[in-house]
Amino acid sequence: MSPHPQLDQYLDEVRRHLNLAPERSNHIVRELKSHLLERAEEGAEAGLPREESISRAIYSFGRPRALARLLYESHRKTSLAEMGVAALPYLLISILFAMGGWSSWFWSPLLLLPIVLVTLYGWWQGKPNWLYPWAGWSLVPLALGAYLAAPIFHQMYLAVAATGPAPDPLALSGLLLYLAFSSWILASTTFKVAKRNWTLASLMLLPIPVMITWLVLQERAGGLFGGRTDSLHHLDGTMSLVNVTLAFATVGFLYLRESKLKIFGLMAVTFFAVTAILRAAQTDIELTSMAVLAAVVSVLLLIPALIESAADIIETRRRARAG
Amino acid sequence: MGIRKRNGPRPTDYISDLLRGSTDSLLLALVGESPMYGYSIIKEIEKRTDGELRFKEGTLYPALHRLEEEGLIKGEWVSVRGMERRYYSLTERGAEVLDNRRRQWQQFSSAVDRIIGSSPIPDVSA
Repeated sequence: MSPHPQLDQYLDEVRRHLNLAPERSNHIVRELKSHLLERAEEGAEAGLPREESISRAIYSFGRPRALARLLYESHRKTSLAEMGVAALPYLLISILFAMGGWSSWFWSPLLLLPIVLVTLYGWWQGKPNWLYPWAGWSLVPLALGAYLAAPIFHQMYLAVAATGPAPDPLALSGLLLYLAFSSWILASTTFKVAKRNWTLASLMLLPIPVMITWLVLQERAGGLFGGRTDSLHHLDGTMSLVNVTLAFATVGFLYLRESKLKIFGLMAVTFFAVTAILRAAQTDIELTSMAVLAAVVSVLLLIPALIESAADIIETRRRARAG
Repeated sequence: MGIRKRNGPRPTDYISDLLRGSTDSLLLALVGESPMYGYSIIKEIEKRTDGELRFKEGTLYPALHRLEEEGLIKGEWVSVRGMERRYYSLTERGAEVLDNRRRQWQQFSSAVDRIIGSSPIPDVSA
């Protein structure tokens, strides 16, 4: 057992929140440890009990999550190549829309599979910054799962109203399992990433508000399962351009250092993207209502910030209880 | 007449603001004199300013690492009596930046002092 469990616990927590390559994290933690030990040693020499001396040394470093965040900001340097990799899923999706291939049972899975595989690879590689847009696109089908389930829910409703046949129990239970699973994956991934760095979680969620808007508009135009796929391609050009814009927004996000600027950039781009899609759909919604709707949808990107604040409060209370 | 704020900012807040704006220059100046490690930088600043200025570790290390990433300082592990320390020293580019900042600081502080330092404290008791 380590002679300084309290110190090791603190450093482990810093390491967990650093979000940097393992080699770099080790290097940082080694330096912090040497400082903490020297300071604790001096406290002990001055007559403080060992535990008290270590506690004071740790206290002077502040909360591990806050320290890790500042250190991460100092080290976070994304290369041009990484920025390109991060923007790539948006460019691929842009091409898919430009081709009108999203409605194809061949092209969509063909694109989705490598996106999921790249996400798993990035996750396994220690979650580098380029991973998050890929992770976001891997989550899109899960986030839209409820919509895919709509026909079965409709059938359920008709059965309850006794005007139609009951849905297949196997399909229904499979669907409920899928919904529970997808909600769990979506929530736990967002929570996990937000706890490490909430701005990266916002970057990850970036495609979701745009895709929800697109899907709602498709529903108004007859629905994906309405059988009239030709009329559903009227937004393809706009969606292609929107995804190119999101690719640039991703590069900008990775280039900027200031968290506030990053999130403001993402929200601004989402706001304009959603407004552009609404306008292209030629709905009867007024411009002011469009702006309000776009603003509400953009605010979804702040959910990780709320998760992070809640986690911070819990951590502060836990540390206060631990003395 | 506007609303008067009864409790203005504390003097320590002002010093913290000034310190925050001068962090990089202070660090460059110190490691420019001789190679130093994190803990020694904190102690040196406290000693030289009679405890008026104190760097928190949570501020110091992110600043040191940022300066290193920017190529203004470089770190090197040294083992001293069985204790490992990471010593920082100024790079050539860091020396140029420090020289430039030092000149700017002297101009700025002298200009500010000509106004704040010589103006009488107004009597507002009446």
